[in-house]
Amino acid sequence: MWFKNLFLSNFRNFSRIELEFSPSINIFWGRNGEGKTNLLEALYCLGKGKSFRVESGEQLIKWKEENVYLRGEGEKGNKLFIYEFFITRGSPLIRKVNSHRVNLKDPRHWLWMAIFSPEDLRLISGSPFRRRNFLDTVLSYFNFRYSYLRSLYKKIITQRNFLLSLAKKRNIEKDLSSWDEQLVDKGSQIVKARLEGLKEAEPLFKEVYSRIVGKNSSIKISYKSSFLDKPFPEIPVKEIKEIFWRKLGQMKEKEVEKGITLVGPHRDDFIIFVDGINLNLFGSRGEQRIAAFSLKLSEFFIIESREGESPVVLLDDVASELDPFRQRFLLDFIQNKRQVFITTTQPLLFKSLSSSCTNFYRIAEGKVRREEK
Amino acid sequence: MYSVKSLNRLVGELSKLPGIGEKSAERIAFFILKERKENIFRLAEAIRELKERVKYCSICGNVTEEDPCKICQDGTRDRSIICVVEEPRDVFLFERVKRFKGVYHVLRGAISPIKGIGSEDINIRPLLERVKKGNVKEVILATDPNAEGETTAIYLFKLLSSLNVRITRLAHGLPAGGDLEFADELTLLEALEGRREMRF
Repeated sequence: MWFKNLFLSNFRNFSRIELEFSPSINIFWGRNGEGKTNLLEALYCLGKGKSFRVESGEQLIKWKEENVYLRGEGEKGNKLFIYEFFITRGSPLIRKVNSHRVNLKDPRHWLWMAIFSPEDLRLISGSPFRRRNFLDTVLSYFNFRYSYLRSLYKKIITQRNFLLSLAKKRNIEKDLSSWDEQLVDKGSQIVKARLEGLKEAEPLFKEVYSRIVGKNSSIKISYKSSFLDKPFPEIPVKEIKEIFWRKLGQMKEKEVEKGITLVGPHRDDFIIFVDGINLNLFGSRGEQRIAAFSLKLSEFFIIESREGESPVVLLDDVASELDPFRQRFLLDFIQNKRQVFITTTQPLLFKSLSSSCTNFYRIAEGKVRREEK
Repeated sequence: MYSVKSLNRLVGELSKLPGIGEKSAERIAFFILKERKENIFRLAEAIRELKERVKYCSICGNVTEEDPCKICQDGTRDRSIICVVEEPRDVFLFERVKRFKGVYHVLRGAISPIKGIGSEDINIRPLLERVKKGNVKEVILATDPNAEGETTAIYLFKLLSSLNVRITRLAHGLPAGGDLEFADELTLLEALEGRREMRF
């Protein structure tokens, strides 16, 4: 998959930009704060119908303007598609593929993207929220039922928490038990899907991680549940439900006291063990970063194998965060024929890349200029 | 900025309606301003009549001008099957399918703590009494297949399961996460015909 070109108007700090891309490597360079990442964001919106940085589309509109228009031609499965994205203040986002309006969340209409940004390097050292989110996002890509379960589960939690917060004022027992049924039913299915997903990802992660560190280690990704003591992927959903019910019963008093749901997949996490050591807690900063980077690369390979084609790779200022050895690995990885967009303040890092298929763009003062090397 | 007080007031009222934003409200307001007086008075009268004449059926809770409603009065309908729906709108949808010959029960809402709607706040008690009176063989739970509708169905299931009555739930031929009002008629028919025993 790759983007041939991009036209944008009133996106973030840019008024009007028109660019032609290289099918392999494209480098956006310039000083901090010039809007390099905004260009990646525009491509991401065009390909996947949302930003990777903000929830609301309005934040993407240029100051004092009313609407954004993005347009780009992309190739997927050897077919050419025209992608368009419209943002208007106070109106829903619109994405079109070949002039037909499509559902933003429908992966069939995506031009797949894999983004690596500096925050991703905190995937292992950061809060469980990041890891849950990562897991949920990747599982949702190819499992429509999972993304449905997840959005339903979120609503159940919101409603149930609200009900719990009323417990001190009135008797909620009768209504609560109906929400419990749903919490356990949907929650258990989510846990099951996550366990299976992690099991599938483990060997892939192991391979990538070992290649980056340059030696073979024993690696285990282990799911940490708020109610299962020893989660294993083969556990039947029925059993998950039984244990969920038991724990929910034990926690009821505490839940009522705190007014929030304390048991369920929204409190879960996963931990990476390398040679028996808990990397989330005891890994060095470097190890945690490599593990995070490997996880993101696993995501890339999962998309590649399911789609039968590489997604477009967006590297947001990642190279500068890695030591020279990992930078080498990164360069080898992107040296292949897939399309990559890189933002950097240090274009010299990438001078060694083969020149024929690498485009350099200089970003300054709201303008983008293609440079001949 | 130039403004006219009564025009602003109408725009304000119109923009409270579902699906109508400020811009559409303005368009409608200017249309009303331009349109002949008698046409607009007829519209106003229709709105007033609706609010004055339409009430809730004392048996099923549906909207009606006469009490009991036409469906509850209709001798050809099978009163041993009750289809429980969230909104009066849903009754109109089922009636359009023309296949259902039972009667309805309209809850006028679904359990939603966030909206301040508990099981006591929707039309559940009269349903319980209808079923307790006997002669009801089946209750079809046709609430929306979303978080609130599903919870309402579970609640009703628990409530009714002690009584001697068959309880069914609409099959999921309906779009995931959607509301009944967005389903097309064929989907609704499929869901109606594919209904199953409720289990948990």
